[in-house]
Amino acid sequence: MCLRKSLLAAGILLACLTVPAQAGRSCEERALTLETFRLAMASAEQTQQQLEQLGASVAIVGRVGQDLSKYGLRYTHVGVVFHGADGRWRVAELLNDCGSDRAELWYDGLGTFFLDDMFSFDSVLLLPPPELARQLLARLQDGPLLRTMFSARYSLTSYPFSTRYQNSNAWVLETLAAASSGNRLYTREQSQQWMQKNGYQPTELHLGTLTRLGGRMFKANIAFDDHPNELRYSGRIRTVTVDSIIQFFMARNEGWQVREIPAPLPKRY
Amino acid sequence: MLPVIGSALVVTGIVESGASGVKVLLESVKTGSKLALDMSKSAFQASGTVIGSTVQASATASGTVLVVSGKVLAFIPNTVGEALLEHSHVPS
Repeated sequence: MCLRKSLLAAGILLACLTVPAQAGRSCEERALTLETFRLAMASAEQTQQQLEQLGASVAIVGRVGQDLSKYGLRYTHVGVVFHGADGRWRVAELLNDCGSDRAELWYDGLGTFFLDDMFSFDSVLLLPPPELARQLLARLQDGPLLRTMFSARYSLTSYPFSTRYQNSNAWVLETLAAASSGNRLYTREQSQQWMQKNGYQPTELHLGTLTRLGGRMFKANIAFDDHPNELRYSGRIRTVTVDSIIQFFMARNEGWQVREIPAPLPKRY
Repeated sequence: MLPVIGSALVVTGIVESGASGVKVLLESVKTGSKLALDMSKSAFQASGTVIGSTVQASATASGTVLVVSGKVLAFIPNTVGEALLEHSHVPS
């Protein structure tokens, strides 16, 4: 599904259907079913309604792009949703460039956020305490500042305490670390030091040799050479996941709140 | 011109438009009114649409969806839909 809009001769705005970048997926063109499209847009609308009912201006928003239940995980990807000065809700997110080893930072509408290849349209909001929300809101509207925690070299399984690569969730976590310090961290290294000092625990995935080799040899967007050798060669891959972000901030007892939003029901009639 | 919701249109022409685009010409079965869609060639090809395909216009809260054989060909957002479908680079 591509969300590049083109102006028609008839004066109509058209969103054509291919996604230019996704979170760790290829960009093979596939036509969406009407049902999937409706569910994605309904998910966007109910997320926005939930944010407005909660009186939130900023939240971490997570989605379920694939089934990670065998690793004990639910959500696969997060961005940071915020209410801009122009009244629009936007999601700031890091997206992999079509299965390559590159990534880019995007401002996306909530519909764009859910118009990906979802395993489920369940979603989650993680709401920061008010002071942190203020710091984040300022940061989210300052593009150059947002990019200080961004690296274009992507790996789906990036190690949380190395700056060689980055995945979507690591960018969010490093951005939250910077905002938690009153926006007084200026590099990825500083954010990662903050995470270590404050006891952030990444998720440890147990990946067999064949899985690791398969990932490295056949997929440009997966690398393991940023992981410490003793972990990597024993199949213990530590990375930033949505679940580990939620657990970390909830354990800080700063007033964070979690809201899980069930998928909208398919339209029957 | 926006297509009438629930109405059927037929693809009457497909014209190459630049290196990566196509213009899809549609005509309302009922009224004969015409509509042109500019879209990417790859997205158009993925939809499997050919000349003579029937296109249904379906309403959602965020705009009008054009559907061919159960698959979405294109989406014409209203104001709500436009905000939901933003996709822009974070500026440097």
